[in-house]
Amino acid sequence: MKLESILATLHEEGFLPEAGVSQAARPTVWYLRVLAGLGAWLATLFLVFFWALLASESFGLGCFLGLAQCLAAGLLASRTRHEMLHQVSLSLWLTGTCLMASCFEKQFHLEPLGLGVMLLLMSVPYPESQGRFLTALAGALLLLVGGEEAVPLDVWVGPLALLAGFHYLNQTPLWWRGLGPRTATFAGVAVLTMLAALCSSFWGWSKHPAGPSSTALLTLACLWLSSRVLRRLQVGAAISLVCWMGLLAVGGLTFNSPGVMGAVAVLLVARESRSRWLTAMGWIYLLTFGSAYFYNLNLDANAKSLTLMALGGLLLWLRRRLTGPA
Amino acid sequence: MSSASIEEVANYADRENWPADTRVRAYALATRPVQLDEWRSFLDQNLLAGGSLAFLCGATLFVSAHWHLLGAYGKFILCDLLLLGLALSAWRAGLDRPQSRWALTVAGGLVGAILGLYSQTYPSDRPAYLFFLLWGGLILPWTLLTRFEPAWALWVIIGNGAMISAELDPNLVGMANLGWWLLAVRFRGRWGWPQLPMVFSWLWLTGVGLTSVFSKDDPVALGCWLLWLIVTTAYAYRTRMKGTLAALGFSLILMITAGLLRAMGRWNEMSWLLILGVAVTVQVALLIWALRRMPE
Repeated sequence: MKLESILATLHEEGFLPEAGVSQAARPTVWYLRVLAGLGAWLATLFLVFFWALLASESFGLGCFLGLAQCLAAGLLASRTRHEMLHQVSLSLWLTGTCLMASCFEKQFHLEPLGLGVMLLLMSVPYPESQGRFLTALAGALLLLVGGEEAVPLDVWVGPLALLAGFHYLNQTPLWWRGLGPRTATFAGVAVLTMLAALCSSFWGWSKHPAGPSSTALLTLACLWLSSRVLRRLQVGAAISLVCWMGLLAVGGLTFNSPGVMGAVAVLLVARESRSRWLTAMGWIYLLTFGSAYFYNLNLDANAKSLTLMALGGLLLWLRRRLTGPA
Repeated sequence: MSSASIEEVANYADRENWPADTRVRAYALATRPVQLDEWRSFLDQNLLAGGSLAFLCGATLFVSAHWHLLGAYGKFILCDLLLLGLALSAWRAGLDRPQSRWALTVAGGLVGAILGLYSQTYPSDRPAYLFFLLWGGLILPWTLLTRFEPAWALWVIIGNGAMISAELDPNLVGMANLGWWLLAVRFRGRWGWPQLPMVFSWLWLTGVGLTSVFSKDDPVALGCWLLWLIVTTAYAYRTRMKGTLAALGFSLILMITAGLLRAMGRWNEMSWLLILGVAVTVQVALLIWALRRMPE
């Protein structure tokens, strides 16, 4: 539903005195956001060098400057709605966290695990979503890199999928309780971290790549979600069976490549939660792992091309079967 | 405007200070369960996109795998049949349908592929810009006919390709894009898509302007940049094209900052970094303030 439709419905039901979108509360147009973002980052480019030159003298000074910037950014972010100040607070926040992270790393020789935990903890209280997301993402990726020697990537996939699924399938109660902004951040980080973990598994960058157990877990998640949706929509047994068999077939054929089932899971959650961002991520997953899967198939070009054309034909036939006239 | 996410609704609710019961109802509306027709639409779009993409990739891979088996005539016939097929299907369906316009746009791209194939099969010493000139010239009539933005985007890219391969002065390239932009805004729809020539003229003229400030001291480049700025600002202000004015303003900010950087770079102290950072912040804030105050 568009914002105008939601407001119109609220007005009809007596929750709002007027149906129109308030000009003052209307989101800033995209070109002003881009302008503010570019301007803030250009200013930060100069300021970062200034602070870095000042802070190179001592650990204490670097930490103090980093902390001061982070606090200033937090205060600014929580009190302003002006686009330019919002971007200034974002660039101050990122400069501050980079400064603190590099000071701690130099002084205490922190490993990626330690830095990752530090960044994740720092991101939790930050009031603004973009800054919180970027810092948490950096922390999560550092944890992934730092932990991959000891912890197989299969162990990561389950909790990340659970975290993302928990937020996206329970948005209303989470936003109502005021937890929505933070769970949204960490759910988004979970989706991107899972993408990174599956990519590193597929391209052999990790010692303990994710494999069949992750595929099995993601397939089970898809089966559970599809059952929930099919039960709610009271769809007939034949269609339900086709959906389940299709999911099992995809899981079976891509058993050693969990990324493909990851893509299916993300797309299903995206549709069920009405998240445009998650839909875009699902397509990134699908294009990345789908093409990588076919590229690595042990077939010659002729056979691959015929397989792709057959797959295309099957999907188009399924489309006609599932969505055609009853 | 597309569907509002719960985050957008929550931000709106915060700005408007909605009471708790209104928020709960608004969140429920934003995240109401997806109905059967919406799932059908989702499956319809994604299975169509996925199926078409898989089929096209398979077909392309099949042709690539057997390309070496086709003789020169076989390759030309294949490309020509594809071109004819697209053109005929567009003609049968009628030009007012988006599918027909896309078909003609893809056909326009295929013309370049056929010309490329000809150059590869019968190599010669012809200069590269002739390829782009011929391509652009051949597809101009049907680009004018389709009145379709992606078709114009392709044509502008080909035009810029011709100028780059002819190694024309970047100032001329920028001014040519300015000319296309003026035609496109004056005869919107019939003579092109304004955004792409504006982006190209911005990149070319701001680029040569910055290079001139930093090293070359080229008065022609500065003059071209200034002329472009004045002409586009005057037109955009008159027609209230705020997005274009934002882009022009940013170009001005970059040039002023580059000038300050060059002037202050002679200082040995690092305080100029702080001054520049503050200067950029102030300029952007002023520009945003001016754009917000400008009437629609």
